[in-house]
Amino acid sequence: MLIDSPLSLRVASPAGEVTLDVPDLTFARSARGGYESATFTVPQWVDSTNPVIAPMSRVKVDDSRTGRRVWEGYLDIPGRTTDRLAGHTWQVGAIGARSVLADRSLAHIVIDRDLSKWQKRFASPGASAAQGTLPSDTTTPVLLMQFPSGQAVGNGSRATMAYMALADAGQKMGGYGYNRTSGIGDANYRTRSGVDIAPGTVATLLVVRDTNLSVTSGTVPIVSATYTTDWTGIQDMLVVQLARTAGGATNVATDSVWTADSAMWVCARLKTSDGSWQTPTVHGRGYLFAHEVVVDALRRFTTMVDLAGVSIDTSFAYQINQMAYPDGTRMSDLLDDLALLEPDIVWEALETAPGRQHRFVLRRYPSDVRYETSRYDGWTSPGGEVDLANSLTVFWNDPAGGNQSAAYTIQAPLLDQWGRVRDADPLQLGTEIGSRAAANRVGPAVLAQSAKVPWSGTLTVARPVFDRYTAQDVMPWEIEPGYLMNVRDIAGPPLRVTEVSYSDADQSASLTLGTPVYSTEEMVAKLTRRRSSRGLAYT
Amino acid sequence: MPSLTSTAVVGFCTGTDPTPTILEPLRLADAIQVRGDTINLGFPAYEAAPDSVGGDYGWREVELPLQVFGTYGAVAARLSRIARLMTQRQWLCLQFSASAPPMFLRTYPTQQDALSWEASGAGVWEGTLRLTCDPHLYGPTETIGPVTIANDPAAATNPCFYELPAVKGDAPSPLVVQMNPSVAWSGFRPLMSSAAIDPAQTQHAPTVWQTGAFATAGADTQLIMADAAYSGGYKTSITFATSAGMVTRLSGAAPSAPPAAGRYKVLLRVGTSNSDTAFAARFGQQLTDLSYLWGPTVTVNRAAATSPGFVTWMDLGDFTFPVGASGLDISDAAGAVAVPNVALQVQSLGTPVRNVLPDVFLLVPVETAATVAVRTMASTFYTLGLIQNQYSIWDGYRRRVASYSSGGVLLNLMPPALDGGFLRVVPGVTNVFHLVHQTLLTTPGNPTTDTSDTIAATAAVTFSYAPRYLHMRPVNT
Repeated sequence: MLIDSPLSLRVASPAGEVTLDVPDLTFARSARGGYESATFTVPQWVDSTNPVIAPMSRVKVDDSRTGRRVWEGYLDIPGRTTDRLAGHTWQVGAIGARSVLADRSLAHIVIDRDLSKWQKRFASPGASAAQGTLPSDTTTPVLLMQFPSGQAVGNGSRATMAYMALADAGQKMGGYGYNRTSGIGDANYRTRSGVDIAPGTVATLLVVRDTNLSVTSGTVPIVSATYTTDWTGIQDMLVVQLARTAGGATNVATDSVWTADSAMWVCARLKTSDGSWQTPTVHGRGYLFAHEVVVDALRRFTTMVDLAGVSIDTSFAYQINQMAYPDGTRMSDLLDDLALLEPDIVWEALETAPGRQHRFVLRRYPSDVRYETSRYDGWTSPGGEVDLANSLTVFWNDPAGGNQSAAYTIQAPLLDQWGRVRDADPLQLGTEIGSRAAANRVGPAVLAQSAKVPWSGTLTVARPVFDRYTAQDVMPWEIEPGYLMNVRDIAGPPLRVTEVSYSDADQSASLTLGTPVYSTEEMVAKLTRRRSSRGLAYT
Repeated sequence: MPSLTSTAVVGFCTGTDPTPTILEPLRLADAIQVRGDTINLGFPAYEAAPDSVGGDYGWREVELPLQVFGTYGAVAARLSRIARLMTQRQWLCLQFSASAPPMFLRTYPTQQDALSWEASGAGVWEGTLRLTCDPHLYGPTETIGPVTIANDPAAATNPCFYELPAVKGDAPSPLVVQMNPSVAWSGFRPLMSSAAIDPAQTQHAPTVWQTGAFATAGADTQLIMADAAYSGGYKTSITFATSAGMVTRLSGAAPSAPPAAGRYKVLLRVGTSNSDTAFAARFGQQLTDLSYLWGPTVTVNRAAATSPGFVTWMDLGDFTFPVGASGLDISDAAGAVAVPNVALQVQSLGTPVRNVLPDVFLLVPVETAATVAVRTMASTFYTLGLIQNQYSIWDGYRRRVASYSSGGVLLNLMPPALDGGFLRVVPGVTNVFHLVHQTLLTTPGNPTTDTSDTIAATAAVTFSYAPRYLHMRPVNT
């Protein structure tokens, strides 16, 4: 029977709450996820139908000294064992609060440049509206709307394309932009863009941008529009159009009656942390920041987070110009993708409080040291197979759906000393987050890890450590991942605490220090699994 | 191995009573005896590394070599009764002599030895009764109180705390706390703690800082405004007239220093002018470079209730005084702690803006140079909680909360949701109990209920515990 255990374990459900006295409680918390998992065994009849110790009951672990929650999650299906000598026991596992981030799988658009999601909405006889390339530059993917030479046209002839992915995902239009190019200058024809409510009719199209067909030399005109500035309704569909509005009936005399929209981007209507819509500035930039993506996603993907109390670091600066999951994603996968683009990102789903759902934190790894300790209770840095690389190729799909790639190299002295070139396994960013900018962001970062021997290990802590943030000693179970720790008697720089696993049996914490670097095989596997889980084949 | 005297008592009993009722004697003339009057009380293993942050005793294995006398029928009946008792948890009474106090062992079903029939022809059957027990022997339950504890840190008697009389035993014991509040605890979250304090620290009362005693009032802040609903009859008022942001409202030297270096929970009793209020606050300690080390930002968000205003105790976090004190132990307990420079920042979050009325700080020890053990528990009564004339028992031994009517009948009342650990007492040191009535920061299940903390409220509290002994219970204890 535990006397000196500093922790209290409870299981709660609407049927009641019970405090358990177990000798083998373990729990883990990670810098990307928060409360991860817990395990314990409890004496219980194998055929018991205890309504409290039941799957999905809430598991709470408190620091008995302070009354604060140190772990919280939900009971898995317990294993049940009866043994003539050991009696009846349940082997209980619990999944931590991070599981609420994977509750829902939704089609989700953030910002999308993929032209393959555009559809021909309407084209007058003979007119064409399709994805193509610029007639003058076949390397530029565009939405091309044309009245071909010899085609009969009249006032009202139209070629129209629409972006439906937002409507399909149940989201609304936030903003859009594109470069507009035309083959001829003719005031009888108009190039337009507007918003509508899917499926929409001609009568409901709200034309936002409307101008004569014209040819400009030099800088290509940029067209953009945003919610609240240019429309205020529930429109969820973007429409682009070539229309003849004057000049009466005629036969088209040239093949230059076309308009081509390139570098097209569509931004979903996003919410802020207080539930209001984002500003036109945010919707109209053509890119988003990680914290803006997360704040909006929290409102779509879960009802289990205390939205009023989220802690969001707004200093993320990488410009995300492609993030779209038309075939569905979970918020946990979306966050994993953000981690590729923002390597310092930390997120945690943590405890509930009376009257409040789970606390959620989004921040970055700070650059200053939080914890000071030593290796007195044990340190392990395992060896392993050398998997160095100094070359990497990243693949993605461009807006036209075509396969693109970029190659990256880095200096890796341990390889370079022999003049050896070693490729890491290629990375595939797909269409969800794929872009040249993303490849330029992810490729060098992944290669930087592969070019050096990883510095990481497991530190055992069974005594108080000094917390510089709170200027006090904290116990092993109070150590938080996602911060730097200085282990004074281990050579090398301070290391990131990426995961903390606590065992109450010996009241020690096992800290994963340094990023257990993913080999490129592991990175490929992670990306492959996520894409497979959305029904997308790895290509 | 201990030897029993001729007046020794050994037997299964009903419980840990000073004069226990024996259910089944294991020492009765011409019927059953402990062979050679010698028992092996065993010793529980202490399962922890010598310098780990905690540890635990294992089970105690006790052996009673028994001889049972008499006819076959009498012996069989006696052994059968003992076997039935051994299928359940039991209490075993041990009294070595008439002048020694009774001790008790909590026993559990255990693997038994075979009965020896060797001397059965002479009417003697022998066997060893093996008992797996709690690691410590128990004394009879000690009861303290009822005592009346005030909810006002400025009250003349038991102001938010009570110092228990000397605790018996030689090992920590779970504490059973029975509380009957003078106001209904529906939608309440009372917070209580037990702090075992080494004698090196002479001040046992918690540190109290009235907000009116601070030197510097910040933006939109007025100190020392008379109001009988606040501690000592005065409150501080923040109107947010010029600034609603997170700015300093109180700062300067605290009215006093904590009694010992170490970590304290900083509670702030704070009220609002209207019940529908949202505001945030944080507490900070000034560093030598005059910057502040701020604690977590704590938010109060309460919907409109039928009664105006709302008062609660905010837990602003755990802070170590002095800042940066590390590696503390008992040798640091007697050293004086410098009066800290602290600050309180408050931000209005809601519309319309409501006045926030800080009242008093209460510092409850969490882990200091002088504390041996601290346990803290908050209990959330959602919607329907204790009303007057009812009481709840927080049982640290059975690890449960049960509620009763004034007549002792179990109530149809959902037990509160618990945060923290059940309380305990430690012998040989001073044990202090702390209590504040309301620490909820949000709207409970019934938002129109008046859940405001009442400064004049009290609670009738009764404490009980079973002393624990590693070897023997001293006489006259």
